[in-house]
Amino acid sequence: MSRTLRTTLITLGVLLLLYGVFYFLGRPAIPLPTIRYPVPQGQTLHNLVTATEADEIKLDLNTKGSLNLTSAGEELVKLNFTPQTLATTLDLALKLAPGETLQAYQQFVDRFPVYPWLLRYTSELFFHVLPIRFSVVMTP
Amino acid sequence: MKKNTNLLKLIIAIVLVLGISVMQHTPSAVAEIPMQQDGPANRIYIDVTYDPVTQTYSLGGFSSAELEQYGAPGFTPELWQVLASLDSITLKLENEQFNLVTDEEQLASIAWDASSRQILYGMLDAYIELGRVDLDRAEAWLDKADIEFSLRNSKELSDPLLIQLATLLQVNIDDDNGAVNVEGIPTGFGLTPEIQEMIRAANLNNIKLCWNKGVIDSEINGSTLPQLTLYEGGINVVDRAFGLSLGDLGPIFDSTFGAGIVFGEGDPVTGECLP
Repeated sequence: MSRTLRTTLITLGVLLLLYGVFYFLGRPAIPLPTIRYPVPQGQTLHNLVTATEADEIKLDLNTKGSLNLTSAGEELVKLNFTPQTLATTLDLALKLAPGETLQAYQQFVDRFPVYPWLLRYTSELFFHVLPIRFSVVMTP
Repeated sequence: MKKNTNLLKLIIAIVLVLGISVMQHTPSAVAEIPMQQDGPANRIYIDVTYDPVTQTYSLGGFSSAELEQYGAPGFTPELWQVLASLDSITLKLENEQFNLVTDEEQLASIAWDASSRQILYGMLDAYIELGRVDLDRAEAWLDKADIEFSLRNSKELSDPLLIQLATLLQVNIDDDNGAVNVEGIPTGFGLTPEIQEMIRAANLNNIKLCWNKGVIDSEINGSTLPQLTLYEGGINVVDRAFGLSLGDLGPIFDSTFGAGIVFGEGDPVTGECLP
C-alpha cells in the first residue's frame, strides 16, 4: 500500500471516528461567531429593535431546523422548519413574488439546471449531517 | 503488510458501525403532535359584565374602552332596561343539556341530544330559512360542544374569553368575485382583484390554518409549511414599534382554533386542529 493511500485512509478513518463521536453526542449545532449588526435609522427593523426593552434583537439560526428571535432572553418569534417545509415555502414565495421574479428564477435554473438539486442537497446536508448555528445581534 | 490489513479492517468496522447507527436514527425537527383521544371538542366561554349606571360593558376580558376602540357596538336602550332588572343570565350548553339560568335560578332546561337538535333545525329552517347553512356542518360544530355565555351585572372586568375549537371553520373564497363565505354564510368581505390574481398565479387550491395558543401550523395545497410560534412579548414589540394599539392579547394567546380555506372549486380541507 502506498504512503499516500495509507495517509488518505487514516485521515478518512479519523474523520469518520470524529463524526461518529459528534453523531453520538446528538449532532449539536456547531456555533459560528456572532455577528453584530447596527440597524441604520429609518429602516423598519430599527423601529422593532428600539421597541424592545433591551434595545436589542438576537436572531439565532440553527440549520437543524429552528430560527429564533429573542430580546434579552425573552422569546419573540420562533420558526421550526425541515428541508421539505423550507422547499414548500421557497416554492410558494417564488409563485407569490411580484413582477418577473419567477420567470427570472426559471431562466436562472435553465442556465444552471443543477441549482435546485444543489439547493436541496445543501439544506439536507446542514439539516441532517452537519448542523451549524449562527447568531446576529441587531442593535440601534 | 499485516499492519495495513489491520488498519483497513478497523476503518471498515468504523464505517459499518456508523452506517448502521445512522440508519437506526431518523432525526426530525418537527415536534410530535399529541393525538386527541375523544374526537373533536369545541369549548367556548364568553363572559360579559355590564354596568347599567354607566351603560358600559366588558366582554371576554376586554374593557369597555378597548371594545369601543375595536368598534364593538353599544347596547340599545331597551336592552339596558332589561339588563338593569337582572343580576345575571347564563346560557350553558354542556353534554346533552341546554340550561338557562337567571339570577341563580334555573329558568329552563332543554335536551340537547342529536334528535332534539334535529327538531330545532327543523323549527329554525321553517322560521328563518337556514338556507345554505349545512346541517352536517352544524352537527360537526354542536356535537360534543361545550358553550357557556354569561351576562353579569358587575363593574368588574369580565373573565377572559375561552375559545378552543377542534372543528375547522370552513371558509370559501368565491372564484369570480373573491367573496368570503364562512360555513356557507356570506360575510360581506371580499378579496381584492390583485390578491385573487396572486392566488390564481400561485395555483392555490386550499389552505389549512391552525392556531394553538400562539403556535401556527399551516398547509398549502396539502404541503406543510414551517411551524411558526408567536409569543405575546413579540407581538407587544411589534405593537410598540408601529403604534398598533392592539391591547391585551392574552385571550387570543389562550385560544385554539383553525380554518380550512378553499379557493373556488378547490378540494375541501379535511381533518381538524388538534389542541
